[in-house]
Amino acid sequence: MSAQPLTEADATVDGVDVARLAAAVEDCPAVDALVEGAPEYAATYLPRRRITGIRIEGDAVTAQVRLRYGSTVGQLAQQVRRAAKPLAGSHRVDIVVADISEPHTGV
Amino acid sequence: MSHDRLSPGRGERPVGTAQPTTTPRAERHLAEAAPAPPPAPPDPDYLGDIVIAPQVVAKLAAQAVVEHPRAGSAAPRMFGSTMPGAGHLGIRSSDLTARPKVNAWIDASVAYIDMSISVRWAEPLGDVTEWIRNTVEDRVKALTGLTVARTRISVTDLVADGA
Repeated sequence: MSAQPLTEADATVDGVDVARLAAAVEDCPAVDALVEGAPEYAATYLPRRRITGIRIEGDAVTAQVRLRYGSTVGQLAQQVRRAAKPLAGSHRVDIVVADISEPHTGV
Repeated sequence: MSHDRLSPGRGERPVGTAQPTTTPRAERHLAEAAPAPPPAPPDPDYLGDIVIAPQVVAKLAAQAVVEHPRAGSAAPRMFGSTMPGAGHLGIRSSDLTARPKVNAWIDASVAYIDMSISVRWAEPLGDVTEWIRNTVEDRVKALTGLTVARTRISVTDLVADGA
């Protein structure tokens, strides 16, 4: 018995397409990656998959990210909000900087 | 002279004329027991929260230390002294090319940092720690916007010849 194919509605939570939102956030230059775990344990469970680093709760979308070394938190917030706002609808966008990547040593 | 209303007598309270007796304390309790007002509608101009994990500040501080050529990680101390040969046991040893152990706390927009470092033997500790303190504070401020209120540096080991 084969599983039903995933539809766009399967990735939608509270009117937000979580998969597209995660992809948009990860494309930001100041974002090294979406991360799970402390401090916010942000993740979204969808049918047959899990989106790491994105949580939709109440009127807020939370993006938990690892900052790329050399970028500032201000740049990160600006980029993430610009990318997420069109997809987040009426939700506000909360940003959690959970970690920072390793610096480039130039080796 | 006639009285057409009941008057209290012997501890009786006139029917239908009792006034609520409230003290300031009772009023406070009543106010606390009152249902909370409905939450205010969200501010449309409010963009959202930004949370920075202490680990981010700790990593930035540790990186600043290792960028100083005469400072690095310090071996953990046991009973007040460093453990010789700790690296062979899998325990972090003093190393001028490795990041030190750093703890950070964040309170609102203020960060507090504690670190244990090693310094190359015969270097002036005051100069090294001052450079680290200034670099850490400037970098954390520049990259995160947090103000470093305290950078506590413990020099727990001196390293000879880059050992």
